[in-house]
Amino acid sequence: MDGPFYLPLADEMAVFEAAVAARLPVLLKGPTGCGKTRFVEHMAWRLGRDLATLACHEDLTATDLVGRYLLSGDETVWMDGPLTRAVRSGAICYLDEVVEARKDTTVIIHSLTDHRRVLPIDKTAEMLSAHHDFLLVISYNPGYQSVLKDLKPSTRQRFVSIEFDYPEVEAEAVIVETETGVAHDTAVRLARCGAQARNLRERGFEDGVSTRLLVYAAHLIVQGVVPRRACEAALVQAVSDDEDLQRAVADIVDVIFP
Amino acid sequence: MISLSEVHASLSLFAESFTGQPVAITTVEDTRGCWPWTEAPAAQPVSLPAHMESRASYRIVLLHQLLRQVGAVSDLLASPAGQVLDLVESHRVMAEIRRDYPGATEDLRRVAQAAAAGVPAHEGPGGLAESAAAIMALLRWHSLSQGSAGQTDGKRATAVAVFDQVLRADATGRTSVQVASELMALLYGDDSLAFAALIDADPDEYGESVPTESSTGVSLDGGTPSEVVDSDGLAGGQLSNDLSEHDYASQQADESESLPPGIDLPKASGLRSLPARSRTYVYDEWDYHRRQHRPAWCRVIEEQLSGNDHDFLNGVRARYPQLRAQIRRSMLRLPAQQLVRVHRSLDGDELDLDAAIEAVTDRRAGAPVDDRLQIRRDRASRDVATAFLVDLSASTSSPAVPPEPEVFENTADPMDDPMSHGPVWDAPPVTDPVRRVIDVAKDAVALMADALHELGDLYAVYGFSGTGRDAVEFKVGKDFDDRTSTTSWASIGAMKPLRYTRMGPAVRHATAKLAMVAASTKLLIVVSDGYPQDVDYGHDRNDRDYGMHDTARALLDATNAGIEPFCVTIDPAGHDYLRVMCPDGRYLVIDDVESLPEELARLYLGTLGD
Repeated sequence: MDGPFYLPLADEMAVFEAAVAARLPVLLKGPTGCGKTRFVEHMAWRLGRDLATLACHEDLTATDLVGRYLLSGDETVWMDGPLTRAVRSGAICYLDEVVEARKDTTVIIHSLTDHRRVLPIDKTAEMLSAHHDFLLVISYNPGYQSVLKDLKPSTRQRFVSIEFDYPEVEAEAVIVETETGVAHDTAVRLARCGAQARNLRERGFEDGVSTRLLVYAAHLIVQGVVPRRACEAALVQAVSDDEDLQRAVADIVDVIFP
Repeated sequence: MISLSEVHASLSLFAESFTGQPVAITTVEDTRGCWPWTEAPAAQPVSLPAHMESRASYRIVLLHQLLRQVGAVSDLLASPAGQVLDLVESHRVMAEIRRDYPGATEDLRRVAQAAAAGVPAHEGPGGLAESAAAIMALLRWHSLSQGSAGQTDGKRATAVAVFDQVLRADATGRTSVQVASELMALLYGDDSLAFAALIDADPDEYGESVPTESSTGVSLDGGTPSEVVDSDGLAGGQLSNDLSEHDYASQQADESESLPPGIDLPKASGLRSLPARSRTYVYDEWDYHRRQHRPAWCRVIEEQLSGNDHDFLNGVRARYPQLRAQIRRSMLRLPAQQLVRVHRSLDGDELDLDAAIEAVTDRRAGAPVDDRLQIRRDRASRDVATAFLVDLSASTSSPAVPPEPEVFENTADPMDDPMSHGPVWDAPPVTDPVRRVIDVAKDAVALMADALHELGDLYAVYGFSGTGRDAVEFKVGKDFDDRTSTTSWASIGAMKPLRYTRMGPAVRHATAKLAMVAASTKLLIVVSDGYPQDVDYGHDRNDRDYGMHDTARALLDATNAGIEPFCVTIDPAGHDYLRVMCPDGRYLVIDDVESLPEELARLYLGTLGD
């Protein structure tokens, strides 16, 4: 019963389970640190599936996902990539921040996410049919507004979308408290800091103070760090390098904590 | 002592974290102009003094104003009702701060104590007078010294008890209104006038009503009073529905718009209203006479433009089809568009021979082999951010092409025509609406922006104008992080001639915006049509040098911040002053307005091409 903790905020679990049953790929939309990855971990645990999580970055190519030949002594050996392994074994493959990856990854995603459910591996000339249980989950943060890094409609429309956002103060306090065992009072204060700092989302930091950062701060507090210092280290310094913004977030912490 | 300009930026962010939207901060001359040194309600939502002893003092004064839910309006400023309401609300907010913002309690105690010391002794708790004014002074002292009213009895004790009702944890702005009304009845025997409309308002009209324990027995829900009051229904017009700060601001927003361009407004008073959803910024100004900055001299009011000409871009494209094609062709040739070959990659289009040979020899020698043997081709991303800053002064409404004198060529008398039924005069010729300088400037900027968008470059389009140092208007057509869309083009199309040209602060603000963008090349292109000038740009209105030196300084600061500024001026006499303002080669003077789009494109491409 000790799976990863996740506090459902709406009907996201039901939608996800339905998508799994119908073998439909899922797109998780939401700002960083609001619980997307935790949600997938929790659902994988609930459904008893293996999970392969891949953080996408600018240099992640299709090869990194699918696999490549590696030199081994006098010969080359084919090595399955994490996506290929998941497709073969029927795991959940979670591509975090998929827009960050190179454009050539979309080709693979497309063939895997429609009725074909196949993974073309051109280097081995293999058309790998997906295992019955295989599920592709991608996440996407619409906050990063770059024309060049937008999810194409043709990709987006292959997925069932579930939208995430930061929880309300009460729910977030519960999350912070459960994750860290910090005193309820402190958890509420942290959640209030978070909610207020998120009002500055448009101002330089797109994503605001994430629930993850609040949990970090609470962990530090549990370890005996004074709350103000913990927030300074976990929230203020993390949100931005802009001095004024840091100052404003520090002020929020300063007036809310005794 | 610190000046507001030092803390303005971070404090306005702090304020925004409470409201969720921009908070305009007004400067008052000294501390006596705002709480807790005066209980006179401020006409503006948030007012801060130009100087205070510390940042903590600024923060507590700001926090107190942010948490207020009820504020009186100017009609009420001097009336007892306004003072009572303000005092009660202030008392409530102080209790809220002590309860919910423990980190600010010490600051609150400190400033309140300082202010309480200023309450004259005869008004303090020692006096015996039962006059309304004396009791008001007692309440004020009681509030500032945080619950030590001392020995009181009779009416004074009742007043304090009523007053302290707002200390309850569930008290809201509405509670304050009720308590203020009770106090008015107690002190002045008059609650009908000022608060009648508030108390008698039918709560059902305003959604769910939550009964309170107030002794007056009225039911008012927990929202802000602005929802309750109807300005038309007010007795004596003492309270109006603009108790809410934002309503107040938005109501006044159009007031200045209706002024004819170029009119002489009074000097910055600090009481001018701000459009809703505007942000304020404070900048220093360079005084070349004293050779030093005037601290916190100018207030820039940034506002997002919105327009409804959703066909603006298509119009621009249609007007300049050839130039558009030309710009696109030139842009594609810009050097940064080339592909970059990345050697020693894991995957790629071709074999990296050097790496392969090395790998073979390594293997023969028994050394570990690096298996990155390929060459990859990467499309290098361009890393240029461009801000266009367009002068929106009143003079840009002049025609782009001076109208030619009309010539009447048709001298034939219709009566000479045997087929004529009589004199038929030509209908007035159909003429296009006169193209103004601003229209051409907008076209030029839009053409460039369109090309930059296709290229994937970061760009922003701003306009500026203003009247006086307190109101430098900075209009955002498209900001760097706005998406390019029909809406953003319509916003750019909505730029129109306004008032004066205070260029320095606008350049400083655009510089600040560019500084926040991550790009290796940053360009600031200022498109103006004449001298920097404003009603109070310099000690003497006719002193053109002041504005030029200030602008030159701002441009120099931009250069020092790693930004490349360019000035494009539509002005046949431009050479003289641009030489002072801009470094050589960084300016362009155009005498033919219609050539602006072409010249602007040439300037841009010339800059990036070298």
